[in-house]
Amino acid sequence: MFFVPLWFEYTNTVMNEVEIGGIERELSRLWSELAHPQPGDAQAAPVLRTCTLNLVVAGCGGEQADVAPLLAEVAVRHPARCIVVVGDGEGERPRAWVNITCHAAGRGQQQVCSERLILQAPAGALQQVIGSVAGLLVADLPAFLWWRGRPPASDLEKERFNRLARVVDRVVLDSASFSGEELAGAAELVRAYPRLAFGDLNWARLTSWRAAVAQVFDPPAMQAQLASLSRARIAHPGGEPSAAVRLLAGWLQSRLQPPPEVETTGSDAEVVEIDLAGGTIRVPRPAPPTDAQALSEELRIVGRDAVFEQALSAATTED
Amino acid sequence: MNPLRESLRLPHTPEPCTFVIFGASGDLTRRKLLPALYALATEQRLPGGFSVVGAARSQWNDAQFRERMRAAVAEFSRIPFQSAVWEPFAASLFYLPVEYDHPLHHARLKEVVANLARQTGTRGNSLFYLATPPSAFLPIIRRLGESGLACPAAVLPEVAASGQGVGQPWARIIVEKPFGRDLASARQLDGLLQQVFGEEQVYRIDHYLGKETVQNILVFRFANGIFEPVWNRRYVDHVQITVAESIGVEERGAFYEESGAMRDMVQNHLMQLLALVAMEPPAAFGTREVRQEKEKLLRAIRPVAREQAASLAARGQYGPGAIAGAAVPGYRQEKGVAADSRTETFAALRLHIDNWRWAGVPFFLRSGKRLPRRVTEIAVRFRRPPLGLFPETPLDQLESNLFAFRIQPDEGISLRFEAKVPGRELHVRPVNMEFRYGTSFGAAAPEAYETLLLDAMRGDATHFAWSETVETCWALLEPLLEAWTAEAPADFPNYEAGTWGPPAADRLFEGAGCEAAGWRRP
Repeated sequence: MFFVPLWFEYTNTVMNEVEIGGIERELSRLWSELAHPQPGDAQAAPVLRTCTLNLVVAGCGGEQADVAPLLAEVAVRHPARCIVVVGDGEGERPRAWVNITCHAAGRGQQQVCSERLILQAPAGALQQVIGSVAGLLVADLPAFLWWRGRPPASDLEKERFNRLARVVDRVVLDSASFSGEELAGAAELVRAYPRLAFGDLNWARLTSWRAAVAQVFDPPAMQAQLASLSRARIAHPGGEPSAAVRLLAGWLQSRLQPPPEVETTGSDAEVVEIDLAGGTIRVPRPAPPTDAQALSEELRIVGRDAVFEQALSAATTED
Repeated sequence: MNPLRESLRLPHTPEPCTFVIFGASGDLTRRKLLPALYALATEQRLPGGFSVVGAARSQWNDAQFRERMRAAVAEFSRIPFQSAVWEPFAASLFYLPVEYDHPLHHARLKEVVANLARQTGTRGNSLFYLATPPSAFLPIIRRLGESGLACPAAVLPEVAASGQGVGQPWARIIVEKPFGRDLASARQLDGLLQQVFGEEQVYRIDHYLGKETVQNILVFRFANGIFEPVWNRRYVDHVQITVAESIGVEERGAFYEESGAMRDMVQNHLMQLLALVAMEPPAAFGTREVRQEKEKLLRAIRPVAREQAASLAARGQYGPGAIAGAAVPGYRQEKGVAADSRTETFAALRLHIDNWRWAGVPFFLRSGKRLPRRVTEIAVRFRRPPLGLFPETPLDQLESNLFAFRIQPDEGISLRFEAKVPGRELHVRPVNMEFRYGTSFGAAAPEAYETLLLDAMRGDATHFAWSETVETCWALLEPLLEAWTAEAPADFPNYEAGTWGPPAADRLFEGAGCEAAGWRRP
């Protein structure tokens, strides 16, 4: 099931509907318009066209979230061509909207503009619409797929994912709400696509917590204790450990030799506890980044994140 | 190596260490050093067990130091102040009042560093920063040697004896410019530094080398395949390096009277920029290899004789004028400046590099105060095409291709090339293709001091000046400085504030052997 972002509310005034085949032409026209504003347009500021990557947004399941503000925020750090693929459109034919959104790079500075495309398809035409993504990517720049919701499960979902996976370089998931089974599905996806690099917003949200744990072991004397560490605990709210807690446990197990036993226990707060010779070290979870910051971090990395892949593998390996 | 650091996202942080700042009550600490350390703390780039000891003459205690630094960080940090970051960071700030030349005070400092080392597990790793006026450099260095602080084994003998942990503990010293005011004083400073520290322990900071765009020069040249083939005498007409400031000497009149533009800017910043843009590819991207290539390049610069001062160099001093619509006084009217001052506020020179790559290509360098705008850039101008093919645009009206590294403000790179103006006639016009750091990557670039302090803590001296380089630059410029000292300038002040310098600077292009006839307007 594809979700429908409430994009239109956000950019209603400037979204232009076009045929999918006319997207590039319409974008050229919009760029030309931006470069030559009407005389007397006091708002007009010099425009800089910058594009550092392609970002395709698609997925299955998930809430009916409004991704437009989030993408607008991300575009400040990563000017991009964003292509949002929406399923379950009404009517019989695919529809497409394009716009160019701009933000000022600084006070009195040029505006930096990014392109936004929405491709909407009735359920029956989704495959064709997904097929058109390949022709809409900006050449020679990395292409990311932000796959929202759970990993593809049904044959149809897998086929859709597969079509997109063929044209992108990196896939970004968000395992925050994944069950243990779904996290295993993510690990399976990583194994099934050895050509692709994978990232996870849920993993990006763990960076500051991991850094805080790593920092404890920077002094050489502490590193000596790390070598003989056999147990650690991660306290977390709720009964079942979340996917984040599982990933953090997987990270500790995949980084340390021999892998320590990591126990997860219910508690009020999220804290890593490690018993050492001098007492127990407690590292509470720092405030996580926003979704836009987490996505920005993932878009910064073009290649494989071996540490994440190993943590995911360890987190989903049955004892 | 901490195995938990292994990641794309958790970069290699330095070993735990104590950072000792001499001159901790001064302006540099307040404006640059503490905000830089705070930014590193915010980004979790500091190691566990990191602490700062501020040492200066002011009679402060830890609490006063923390309070003042809190205000400094809130005012000058590029990252908004957050109490949650500040509180744990502030707990690692300490202060010790010292007289810089007092042996007992240095003994006390050694005790403080040793106690911190035992508490925080630094094993005695120490980084000293000389943020004092240059007059205090020599006594501090001498006392660091006498007290044993320069030798971590003397700070924590028990660690040295046990050989615990990886590698040996270290002590490093960061020295702020000026590195002397001529060849003799630079050698005196180096001589003492090398009596007390080994060259590998000394980090001469030139904050220009920490700027993103400066570091990008090497990336641009050696991570791309298409530029290096044209980066030579066959295609390049000439190179211009400009470091322009629109401000005057502000409160530094008395200091500036003793230095001038050549010593203050050309000897260090401009020569380093020249080395980066013209050096050969290093064998590896390591401290030693990059330094060697820079040194090799600087040694290939054709020496300038005293007698050539008039033809290869130009000096200027600003008179009253206007900047951004506001009237500003001349240099001689500034506070702390003599009414008949001979100090140059503008210096320009033409250099030739006698090696295979650059033979015959002139390099023009200029730096000045009270120029129309603040800009630092390196412009590489290419030769014109060999033939004029388009009748409406004669060859001499074609603009050459120009490659500009903009270092500040608006860090970026631009390439000028010719394009056809839309229309039935074949008119050609130059257009600029621009890459801007701020907009293409979005993320704010770190301040130069953040990068360089982290490098020094990690033991990476690639972006610091080397003693040999400093001396080579002094040796090269000394004949010009001598000529200028010997002969009083007849026409000072010779440029109006708010203009691009004296007419003498334009004469450097005469007989230079390049197509271009003047300075570009950056």
